Amino acid sequence: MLILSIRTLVLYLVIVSGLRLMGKRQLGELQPSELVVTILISNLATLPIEETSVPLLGGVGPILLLVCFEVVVSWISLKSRRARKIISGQPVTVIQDGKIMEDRLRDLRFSLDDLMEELRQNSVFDIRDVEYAVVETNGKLSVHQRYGARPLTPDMIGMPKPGDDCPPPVVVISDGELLAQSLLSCGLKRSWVEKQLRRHNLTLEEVFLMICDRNASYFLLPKEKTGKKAVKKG
Amino acid sequence: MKRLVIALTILAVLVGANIYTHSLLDRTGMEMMEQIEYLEKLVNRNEADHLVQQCGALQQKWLETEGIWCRFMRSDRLEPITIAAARLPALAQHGQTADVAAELCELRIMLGEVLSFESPSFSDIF
Repeated sequence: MLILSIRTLVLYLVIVSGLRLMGKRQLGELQPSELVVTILISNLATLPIEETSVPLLGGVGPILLLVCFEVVVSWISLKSRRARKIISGQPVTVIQDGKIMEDRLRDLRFSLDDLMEELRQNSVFDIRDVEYAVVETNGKLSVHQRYGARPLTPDMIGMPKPGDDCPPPVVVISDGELLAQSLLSCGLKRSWVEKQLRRHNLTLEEVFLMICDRNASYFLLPKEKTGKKAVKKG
Repeated sequence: MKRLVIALTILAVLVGANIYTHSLLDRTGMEMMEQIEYLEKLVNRNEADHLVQQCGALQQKWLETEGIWCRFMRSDRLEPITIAAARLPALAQHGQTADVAAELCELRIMLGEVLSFESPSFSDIF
């Protein structure tokens, strides 16, 4: 039992490190080669856990090999368009100028039900509203609606940009901990935070959450045990 | 770029480890084969005293080799060899030379199978 536990822990660490090495793409939408690697890794990891006669290296070695190979292949496909086409395939336009391309749908083995489902997932319930629809290499459908059906944007009505428009607020204090990197992105200093906290009779440890933007407007949520109310400024 | 460098480094380490384990397997396997061959000569020459001593040495040598091979090979493939090697000293001690010869023959075949299975030949890969 102890051996199994240690093996599981080692494999867990190897897989987590491997997925980190493969990068964030691996955790989001999977390309075909990434899907293959993910499935293979999960199968390879179970072998040395299930069977103690299989050496741990028999699982770790192939997992590392797959991960490294995937990183190298990703790098090659990043550098070469042709390689990218071979490895990941190409996006396919299935609705062009409002016309459904039946032959392409058939090639993709994409039924009309699949198409409608994907459209609904893109918040499009009427196929007549679609000007272009593209099946991406990861199988997701990207939709471009016809002009009349697109959601209204400030640009469409010529609405001027507000003067106080700035990047979204970031968390500067999380559970009593000051996040220096977030503070830096807001262009603020630690002394400013301490001053605001003093104004509300709070210490850093008493703050559960503080979010702030570049205009120094903030939201302060003290921990429940302090019995103090949330503060909103700006 | 950093990820690529890490990946290439790991790949290089893996290739190096593969070459090392393969050469280690080859070397230790050959040593075992040579010792078996020597024992077979002793059996043919009927040198009973020396045979008992050398059978014990072979068993010991196998235990050391098994410890190395276990790190990169399924241990259940090695168990039959361990059992056969364990029988040798007792058989030699009781003068059952024919059985020793048979066990040695079996050991040679099993070792050869393991060695050929681990070598990257076309038939083993496919």
